[in-house]
Formats: sequence, structure tokens, C-alpha cells
Amino acid sequence: MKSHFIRLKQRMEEASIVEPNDFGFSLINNLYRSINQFFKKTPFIMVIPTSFLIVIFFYILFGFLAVKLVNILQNGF
Amino acid sequence: MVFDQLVNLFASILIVFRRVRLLIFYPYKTMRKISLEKDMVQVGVILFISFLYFMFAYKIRNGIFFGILAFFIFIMLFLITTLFFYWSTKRFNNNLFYNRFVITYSYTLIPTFFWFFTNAIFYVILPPPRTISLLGKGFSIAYLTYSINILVWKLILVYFSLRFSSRLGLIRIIYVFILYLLLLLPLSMLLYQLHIFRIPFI
Repeated sequence: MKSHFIRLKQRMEEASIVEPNDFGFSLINNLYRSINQFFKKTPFIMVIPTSFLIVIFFYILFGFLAVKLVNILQNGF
Repeated sequence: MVFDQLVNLFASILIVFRRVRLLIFYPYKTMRKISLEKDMVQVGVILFISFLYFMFAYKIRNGIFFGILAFFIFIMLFLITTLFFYWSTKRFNNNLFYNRFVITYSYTLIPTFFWFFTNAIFYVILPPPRTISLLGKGFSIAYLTYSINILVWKLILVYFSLRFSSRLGLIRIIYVFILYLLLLLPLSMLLYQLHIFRIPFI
């Protein structure tokens, strides 16, 4: 029982090491929290389809420039 | 005594690999745990992984000597980065520890390592230039998607690293990060001119 209490206390302390972000407006605070939750846990569920759509959009807009960009990046290491 | 140290080293290696996996799925929670860590051996493990990358990449391109040189410049860049974040955030909060910045920031090198390492492998398997054929376009789209994902992962980890090391809010972290970019961009240009890094490994 005591060990459970100590673990709970440690978890509580760990969870409160940073103060929550406060932007001064509740609307912005709520918006920040709703966006931030996607990045806190399994962000790739959102990031992979979004980035794929961005790349497709980029390719439709700029075409050959996307292929050129890959050439530059592939030489970037 | 030596056996204990070996066991500790092995434990640190296992922790690093476990945390790499956790940083993919639970970046916030994992980075929060890392920020409370005091084991500097984990930093050594990550830097050693980076060293292996430099040996591999420079064996393909310029030779091992340049790899060792690039690794030492990367270490300097890493120290400059962590010291910059430590000093710039200390203005807002006095109760900070430098080792927290070193440990958390070292874990943000994992996406960098992934990107550079896969880039080196692709350089061997599918050397540039890409063409405008169907396969070339398909690879370009997949490669750009992968690169954006790694970049977003890197930014997430850097944000959480600064958040838990400095205990600052989003606005101040953005402010500090913009200042850092103002330092990094000319430094990157210099390293590019010196033929050390095309894209800085940081």
C-alpha cells in the first residue's frame, strides 16, 4: 500500500514539473491544447497523412521542382 | 568493478533503444522522463551511434579522416547548441541544470540520425539524380513525405526537450528557437563553404 502511494506521489510530481501554457485568452489556450494533444501521443497518425497531402499538393503546384528538391536533399548528407 | 560498469553500460544501451521506440509513440511522456534522468552514459551511447553514422557516411563519400573531423565539429555544434539554449533560457528561469539540456537534446538527435542514415543508404541504393519518370516521381513523393515526417518529429522532440529542460512556455521557446536559428544559419553556411556539412547534423 505504501509503495503504491509513493509511486502515485512520484507520478504526480513528474506530471507537474512544468506549468501549463497560458496565452492569456481561453480561446487560444483551448486551441493550443486541442492541437498539442495530437503531438503528445502517437503524432504520426496525424503527421503521415498530412505530410503526404502536403507533398502531393506541392508536386501538383511545382511539378519538376519537387524532383529537383529531392536531388538536392539526397546530396545533403 | 569492471563487470558492474559493463552491466551499467549494457543497461544504458537498452534504455536508449527502448526510449527511441517510446519517443515515436509517446514523445511527451518519454521526454518528460528523460528530463529527470541523470545517466550521462545514455548521451555517450547516442553520440557513439552518431560517430558510427559519420564513419559510414564519410566512407561512402570523402573518406574516414573527414568523418572523424566532421564528428568533432558535430560535437562542437552540439555543445554550442546546448550551451546556447541553457544560457538563453537561464535569463527567464534561474533554477536550471545544464545536464538536463544535454540529456534531452541528445535524444533529439535520433530523428537526425534516422534521416541522415537512410539518406546515406539511399545514396548507395538509388544514387541521385532523380528523373521525371514515373518511378522517379514516385520515389520523390515518398522521400519528401518521409523527410517531412522526420522534420516534424525532430521539431516535436526539440520543443519537448526545451519545455522540460527550461520549464518555459511555448512563446518563449519559439523566441529562443528563432534566436538559435539566427545563430545556426550563418554557422551552417560557413560549414557548407568549408565542405564539412552540406546540411548540418544537429
